[in-house]
Amino acid sequence: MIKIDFNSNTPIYAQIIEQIKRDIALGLLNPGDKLPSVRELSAKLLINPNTIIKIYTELERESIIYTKKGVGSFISSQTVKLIAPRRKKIINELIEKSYIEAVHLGMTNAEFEKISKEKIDELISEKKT
Amino acid sequence: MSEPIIEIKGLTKYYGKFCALKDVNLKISRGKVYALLGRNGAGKSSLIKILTGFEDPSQGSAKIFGTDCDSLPPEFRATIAYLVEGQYLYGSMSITELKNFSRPFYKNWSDGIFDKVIKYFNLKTKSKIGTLSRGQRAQVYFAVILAYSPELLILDDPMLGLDTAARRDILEVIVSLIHNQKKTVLYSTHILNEVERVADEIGIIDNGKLIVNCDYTDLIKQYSEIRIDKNSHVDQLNKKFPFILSIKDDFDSFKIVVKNENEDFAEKFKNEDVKILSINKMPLENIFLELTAEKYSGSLYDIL
Repeated sequence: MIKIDFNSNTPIYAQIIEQIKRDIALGLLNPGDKLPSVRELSAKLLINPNTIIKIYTELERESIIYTKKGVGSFISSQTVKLIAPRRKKIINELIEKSYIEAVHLGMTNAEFEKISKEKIDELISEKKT
Repeated sequence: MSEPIIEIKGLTKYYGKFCALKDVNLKISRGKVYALLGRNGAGKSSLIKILTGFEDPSQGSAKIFGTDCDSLPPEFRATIAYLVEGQYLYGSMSITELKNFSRPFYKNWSDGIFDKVIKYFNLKTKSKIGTLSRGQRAQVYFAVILAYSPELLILDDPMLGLDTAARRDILEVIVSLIHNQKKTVLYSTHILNEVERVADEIGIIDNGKLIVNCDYTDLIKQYSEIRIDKNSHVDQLNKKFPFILSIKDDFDSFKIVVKNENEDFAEKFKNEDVKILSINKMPLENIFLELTAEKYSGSLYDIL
């Protein structure tokens, strides 16, 4: 689930926070889901457990997760509301990436719009059936 | 809060007229991993030499367990592990011989732990240490450390010359030491993404001065990198805003490094002719370079 990218231009501390938020935005983590324990995540990622505790505290401060003493940390139900703008941002970035790619491939704006629309229609009709 | 394991006050060290350390103050509490960073020649080794009793301070004091480092009694020394550039283990001994040799030095020695760690790393107990690879020697060294369970580990570039897999093994040892045993670690290295994994606190030495001494996550929160549009007017920007550390022309945009926890830069720049493209937190490596790298003018490409 959570992976550290050493070529990334984001500090490890911020990477883990970003990834948990991203997983929630993409629906991979849902309200009520339990997060790995500090021990599990620390051992899996080989990260100082104190840093994992700080990451969970930060997410708690933002009301994205809550912690039940002795039970664990869970995704909070308010998260969906909090995460909506982030969801928009992720999708915008993906659209921007494909647009840049289209420009480099010599596509006109009209062609890009047409292809995007066709693909979206195709995906939506697949989902309906 | 908890008792300091290492406490350094007003530490200054001269070699002749050269000042290697200037008024260094720092505390490391029990159970913390303190990463000591600095460029070559910045003063890291001088500090570590004083902590290990190889050198005396010119002024100020350095204490471990509340006792001056140059007069630590042997029973205290036996609770400190010191690893410096490569491991000083006897090459002619086999792993079993090393175990028998090491045992009488340490009160808390555990054969059980030593054997388990050796087995975990798939090492053969009959192997002569001299025939092992660098990575395997590091594994043996850490088997010894785990077996005698020191309170304090002073690791001076423990990853030097180790390959990726061997470095991972060492990281695993360090993380488990913090987790299970509340050991205190002073860790000096140049591999900054590994520091981000293991450090609680960061100290950066530059020209003998401790210019950073704080919690890792607090340090990360303090600095940001802002990219602004190439058409923005940046000339007077750093004069107006003292939190701007540098402005660089970065091909397709300007890169501004700021030291400021307040993230509302859009608000701060609203009266400027500046278009913000992105604001990001900086990895430790970039913060380190920002604070310590020489500022050369021009480019090496123009000379060669």
